[in-house]
Amino acid sequence: MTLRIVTDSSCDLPQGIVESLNITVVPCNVHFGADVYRDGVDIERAEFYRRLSTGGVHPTTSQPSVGAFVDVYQSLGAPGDEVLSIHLSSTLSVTHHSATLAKEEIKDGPRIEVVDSLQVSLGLGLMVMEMASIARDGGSLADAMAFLDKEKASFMSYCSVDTLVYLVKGGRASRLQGFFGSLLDIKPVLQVKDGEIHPVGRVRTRKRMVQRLADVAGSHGKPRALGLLHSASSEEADALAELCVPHFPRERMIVSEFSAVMGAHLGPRALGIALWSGG
Amino acid sequence: MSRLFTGASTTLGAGEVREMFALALAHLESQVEAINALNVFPVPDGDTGINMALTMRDALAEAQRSEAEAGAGGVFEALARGALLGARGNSGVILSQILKGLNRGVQSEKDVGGPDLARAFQAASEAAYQAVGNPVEGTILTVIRAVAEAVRKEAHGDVAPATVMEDASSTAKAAVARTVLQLDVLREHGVVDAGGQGLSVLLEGMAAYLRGETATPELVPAGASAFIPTVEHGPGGIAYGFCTEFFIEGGEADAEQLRPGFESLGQSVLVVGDPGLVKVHLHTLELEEVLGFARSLGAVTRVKVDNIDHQHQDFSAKQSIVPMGEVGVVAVVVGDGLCQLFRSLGVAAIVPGGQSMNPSAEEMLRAAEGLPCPKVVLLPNNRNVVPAARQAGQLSTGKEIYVLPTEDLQQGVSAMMAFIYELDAKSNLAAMEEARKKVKTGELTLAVRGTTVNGVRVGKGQPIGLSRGSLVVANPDMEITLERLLEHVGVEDDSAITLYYGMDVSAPQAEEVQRFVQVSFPRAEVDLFHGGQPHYHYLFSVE
Repeated sequence: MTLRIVTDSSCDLPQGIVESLNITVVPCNVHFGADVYRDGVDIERAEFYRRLSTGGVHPTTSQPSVGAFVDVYQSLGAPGDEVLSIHLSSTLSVTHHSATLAKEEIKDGPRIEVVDSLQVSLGLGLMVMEMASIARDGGSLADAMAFLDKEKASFMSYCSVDTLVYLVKGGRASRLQGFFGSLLDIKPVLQVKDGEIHPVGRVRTRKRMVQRLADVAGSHGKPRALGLLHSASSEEADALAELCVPHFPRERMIVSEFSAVMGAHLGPRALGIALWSGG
Repeated sequence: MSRLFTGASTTLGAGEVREMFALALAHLESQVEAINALNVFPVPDGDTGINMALTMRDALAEAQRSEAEAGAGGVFEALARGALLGARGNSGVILSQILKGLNRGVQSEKDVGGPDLARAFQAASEAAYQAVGNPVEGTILTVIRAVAEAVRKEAHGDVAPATVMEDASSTAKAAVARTVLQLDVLREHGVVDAGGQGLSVLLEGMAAYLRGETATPELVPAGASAFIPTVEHGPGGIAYGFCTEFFIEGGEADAEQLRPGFESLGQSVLVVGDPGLVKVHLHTLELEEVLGFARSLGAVTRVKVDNIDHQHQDFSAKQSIVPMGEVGVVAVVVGDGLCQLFRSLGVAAIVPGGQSMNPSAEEMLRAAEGLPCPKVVLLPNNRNVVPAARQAGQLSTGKEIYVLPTEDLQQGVSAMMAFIYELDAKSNLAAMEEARKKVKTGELTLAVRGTTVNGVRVGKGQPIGLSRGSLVVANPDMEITLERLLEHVGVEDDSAITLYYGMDVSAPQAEEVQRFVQVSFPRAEVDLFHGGQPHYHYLFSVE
């Protein structure tokens, strides 16, 4: 009996970690007009951000198909094996729904649990890493579910975007428009909490944006895991990492670039921070 | 005045108290310009006279409505209530506290005698001191205390009201004269305290009534050397429509006779002057009708009209998309650009007003109570509006109102940047207060008269830079003034400087100044924004 961990490409984990922890990442889809790309499979981050900044077409996204999940679940095990399929918040995407439908299609396969992480990006990614560690250490699906019961709410994520335009175009922030649609050049700072995007601050300059996110790292007790994110802005991610050093060892920080599916909603020059809080 | 009061009477009834205060108001109105001109600062904030007159007017309006059977005590109570609601500016708030104290002193007596009045002044002095967190001697407070001490001996026994008021009036005059020596800033300018003078004039009006005088005093012009403010009103009950002021020259009627006609056409009506030259200020929806009526009375000159309406409509249209949780924000804002900015930052209601246009406690209260949320944060955005805002906070019965004492518009913007509609009042207040304290602000304007402040010599028309209410720099060149002021408040490499240019500055001029500032502080981010504010050519914040 083995436990396998499945997630989707919104988890933003670097490829090295995905491979070393034997995590299965189902790609979400990114669309440029009529062209459809599987996130991280047909289009890499560098190419995506190049097209985002130069192309006139605004990218959209879609969830992995039910079929994509069915294929993955069938390939992962026989009856007696276990699969934990954990995905981004169901209020932000129908990926969770797609996975749930796929689970119902599996008759003679592994035992599958589909979980709504209520998180996204590395907020989900850090959770997935813990799941994968449990699996690697021989833990069962029940062990993983017990962990989630206890700790799911301790995973959190924040981001700050250079402009709200991409979130609004993607339909994820219409509620926030009246709040951030200022006449001044304002960088919104957002948090994903209980599955939804909430405003937590407004800053005026990119330096303040970096500082504000670094402050988050120190504001939830001593983090047990810390992840940093950027979209085509690795220098600022480095600066953010330096500022986080008082709160967390640099060598254990996970620094990653937002995947294409996330970048389509956040736009270029977004920064993020995710943590597993308290310890 | 309907009838002559005989000074020998031992008590005053409701009618006499009303008439006494009506004459006191007439005295004050005749000196509005003169009191406004007792302004020691070379920026247009000389509005003490107008603020006290408008506060007193609201007090009297309430008194006119008081029940006949409530007696003199009822009139005092109505005066106190009216003043509390109508209080504008610092001086208006203190005046309202004095009236509150007087009311407490006379209690609910049907008729008020001399000893009652004497005791009332003790209570008035106490109330005035209590209302001010940090009492400064040489101000209206010193004057009311001197009066209270002088009439204390008359609190028992059998003294006529007229005697007490004569004592009060002459003591106030002497106390006002001494203020020039008590406050450095007054001594430097050789003027007496404006609020103290306003109180003294009111007391003189009351004493005059008890002496049997009824004539409305002559208009006292502003001192020739003193500065006369260009905008000199507080916005009244109408938060939309037009705010207008003009002179009627060559007419036959005096201010007293003209006032009722204008009162039927608008709000915040102020009519001062003599036959031949009457000044009118009011807020109205019927501008043409007002001007038509004025033209029927004489030659109408120096007409000024501000449309308070278009900002309001603009706001109403946008209001629906301002997200709101437990807490809504009400801000006092002046300037079309700044109004839009505050709205875009999530302010739920704007009360027009600010420098030299202090809104009343009631206007702020009404805006707060009109919001569909249980808690309200009030941003006065001007040091002189803070006291009335606090008053509004205390008056509210339906809502919890928290006053964040923003001293200028820039602090207000910073506070709003920290506001998160989803959070509760406590978290918001803490974050907003921190942001308010962190931001460094300054203002740039032209001196409206020559003077010396804090050892800085200023020529009339010269650019001057102020920070936190103090004059910091004066220089013939506006850009250099701005640069020095920025250096004074402190600009770091990673500072964000936001310049808000006023209504007297064109966009190309402002852009040139922005370039200059960027060259002076190459590592800072310099943003330019059309504030549209009056008086100040530039406001800025450094974050």
